[in-house]
Amino acid sequence: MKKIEAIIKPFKLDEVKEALQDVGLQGITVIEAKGFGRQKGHTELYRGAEYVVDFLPKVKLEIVLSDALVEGAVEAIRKSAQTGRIGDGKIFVSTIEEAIRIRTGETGTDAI
Amino acid sequence: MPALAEVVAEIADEMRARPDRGEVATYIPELARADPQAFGIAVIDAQGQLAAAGDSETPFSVQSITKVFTLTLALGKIGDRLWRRVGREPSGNPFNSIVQLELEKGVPRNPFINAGAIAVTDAILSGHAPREALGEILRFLQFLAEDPSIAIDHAVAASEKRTGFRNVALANFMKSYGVLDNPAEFTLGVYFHHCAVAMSCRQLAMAGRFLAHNGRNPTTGLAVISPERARRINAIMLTCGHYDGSGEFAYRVGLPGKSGVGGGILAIAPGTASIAVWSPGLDTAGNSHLGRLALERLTKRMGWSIFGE
Repeated sequence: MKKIEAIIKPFKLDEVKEALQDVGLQGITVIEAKGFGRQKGHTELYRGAEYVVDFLPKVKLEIVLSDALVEGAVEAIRKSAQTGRIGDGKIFVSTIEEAIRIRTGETGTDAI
Repeated sequence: MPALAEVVAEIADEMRARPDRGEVATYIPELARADPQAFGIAVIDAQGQLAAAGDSETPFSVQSITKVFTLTLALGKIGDRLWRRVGREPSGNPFNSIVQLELEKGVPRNPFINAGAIAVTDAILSGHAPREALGEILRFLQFLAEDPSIAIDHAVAASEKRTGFRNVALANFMKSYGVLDNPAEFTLGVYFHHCAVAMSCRQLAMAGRFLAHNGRNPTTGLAVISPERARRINAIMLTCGHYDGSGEFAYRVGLPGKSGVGGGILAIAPGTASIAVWSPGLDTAGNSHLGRLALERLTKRMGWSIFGE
């Protein structure tokens, strides 16, 4: 099992969600976030003024899925979240040791 | 078909000379300072060629035209769930009407009247601080226009905040019906500021390109939104983009368009061009008088009306 964590622009969320559903993924966790990377998040709201925004709204997605689905899911996120500009976000993939469905006690891929 | 650059130059010459210029908006005091003699036009075709004339490089207050871009952001963020809190039917009423809102239990008729745009702004704001949501909106405009110099006009934002009593009423009315998730003053703060963004005709036409090209940036080929969503936003621009003057705009111009009380209009010729015009004098429905006339001339001469030549 793997976990995909993706940081994307908020306005790409609906498109990413649809793309993930198209590759067979049903459940995702969405977390409202804020951050900055290479773009530094520095946005000058008024011309020549000191009033700046240092963090930008982001959305973090978390998906736990079987190994077989990882490649398709990563590609779906990358394609649907891409605008070609700095700030499009990042995708992280890590290994999950175990998953347990609280309601039934099922474990492993049966629980996801 | 005539050369686009020549047509645009001739239209600008005609508009510059016309004595009938409409009335500059005065309900936001800072907008009353606009020069009624100003006229600008910029057209960007599918090949990325710019045809511009008049005051096409002068930044003006885009006002309600930002509602097109906030609608795009909100739909991208929460998808069709947005339509639970705002409708998509023409209103037939002025842009700041409160009557219809009461009759329809706090759900605004469409995302382009003021109440609807406040509800859309609330969706963008949810989960974030007001200044961060504002930063996202501004960055989105800079990204679409490929121009990081676009900024908010501080004086106009302050003027709107100081005199926006009706908008305060609309927001509080919606809050009482549970249509707004955030404190009304936070949502209004973001709304007043994104309406006060200043852009030139060229910057605005650049920002509108994705709507003319199935949701894609025609230069990079990368998707801003899906083709289906671009088509639907264009449909709402056609039916609701000029408030109670939307029928007249469709009849005379024949393109999806969105006006602002700063005197700007963004119009989309699907598959063909993104067009921005600006002249501060307004007609009785609150839309740019010469802007609409210029677009009527342009679509007639270029055969661009979506309803046929």
